[in-house]
Amino acid sequence: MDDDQPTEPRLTMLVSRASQIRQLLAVGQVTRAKELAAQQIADAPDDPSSYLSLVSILLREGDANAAVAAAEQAVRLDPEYAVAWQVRASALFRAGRFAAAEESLLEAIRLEPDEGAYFQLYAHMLSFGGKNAQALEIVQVALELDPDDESAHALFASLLHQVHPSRWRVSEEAARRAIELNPEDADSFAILGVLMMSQRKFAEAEGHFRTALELDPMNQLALRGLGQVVMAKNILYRPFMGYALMMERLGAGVQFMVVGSLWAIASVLRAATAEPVSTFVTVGYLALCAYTWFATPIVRAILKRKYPWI
Amino acid sequence: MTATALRPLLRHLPDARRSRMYLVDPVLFPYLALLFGLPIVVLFSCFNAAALRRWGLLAASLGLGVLGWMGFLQAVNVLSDTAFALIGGRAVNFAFGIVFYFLQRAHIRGHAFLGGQLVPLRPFYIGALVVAVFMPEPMARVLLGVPLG
Repeated sequence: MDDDQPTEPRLTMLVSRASQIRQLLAVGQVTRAKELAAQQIADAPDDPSSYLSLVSILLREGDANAAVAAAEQAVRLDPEYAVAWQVRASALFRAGRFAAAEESLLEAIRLEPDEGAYFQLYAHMLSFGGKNAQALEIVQVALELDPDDESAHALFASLLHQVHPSRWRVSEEAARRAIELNPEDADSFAILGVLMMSQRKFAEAEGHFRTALELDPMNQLALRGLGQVVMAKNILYRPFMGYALMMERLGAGVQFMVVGSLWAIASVLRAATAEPVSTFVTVGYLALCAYTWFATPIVRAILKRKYPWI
Repeated sequence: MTATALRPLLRHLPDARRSRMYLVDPVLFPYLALLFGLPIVVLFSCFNAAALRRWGLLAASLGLGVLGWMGFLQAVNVLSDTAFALIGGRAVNFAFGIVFYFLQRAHIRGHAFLGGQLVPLRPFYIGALVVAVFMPEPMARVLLGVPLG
């Protein structure tokens, strides 16, 4: 028998230990998980998966640089092991080394081009980097590879809504498909709520946000969405909420253009009018400018004040 | 799309660096440029760059500041009426403030991604507005970059 290959009982032991580590992490027993991971590395120092367990523990502890070092050790031990490249990519991303993380993930994809999860992770990375259109293309590949992956459907729905808001029907179908595949996924309900809200179907949106919160009481997207729905129902708040949501969706570039154009209009009006009209123009401009620029934080502040549970 | 067709797209995204200090959110730069002029924006931009130990960014901030000041003077000189000259100058400042925003956005986002702190927006916004309202006119002009005399 080849000495380098683990024997079957040893392999079973290693797999069982890796599963034990995952379970310990799930219940927050990080110290015990770390002890097991150290033991695993001592027992199988040439097995890259031993280091991968350690990576997840180090990431959990917030030590991204140590996690990168452990992942690099796994890659060195077996450069053809796609999972090691993917884990290294995750660790690099958490350490803020975005370009290196992308390269590592692309290597994992090159080694295992049929693994939808890698494409999904890549779509998340691209979305973080502001490349939503490309992320949308990548998540479509993930869906082709694994049409039953609910998180890929949810991500597709969310990205499509951001890139092509007019294709809301397709986004809605994807979000509903994600829920069909996993009715316990709070994120999918929250995304469907956001889609309903963008169609001004407030009652439906509220229902989806509430379901998401029943599944995960700390779901940020659902909490914010529910607050916005409740406020949007109030006739006094509705125009402000609508404007804030629009500005949030359009992004900083458009906000700058709006503020700049308003300023040009206000300047001309001020030059053409006398007191007290010019003062009103200035005050009005500053108020609108503040609301445009700080639409998101102002809405959050109003929500927190009105609904402390948020 | 095949795996071989994939090309790196995040190559230009700078690695995140975290500073222990509170940094100024670049979303404030166009606003500050409009209210006070570019010098204060250059100051904050250089502070952010130095705190993140990004010396290239610091040099770019200084260079852009000089360019912006030249643009401001050009705009002021072109328009003969003082009121309209200041409007033109402020418009140039605002435009350069937007450039500063895009220059710093990725770096500050990286700082925040790693858990770094940012100066709170609302108090800063309101504070800047109060200072701008009560600032004496000569000082405001000096800050704007209007040459003395």
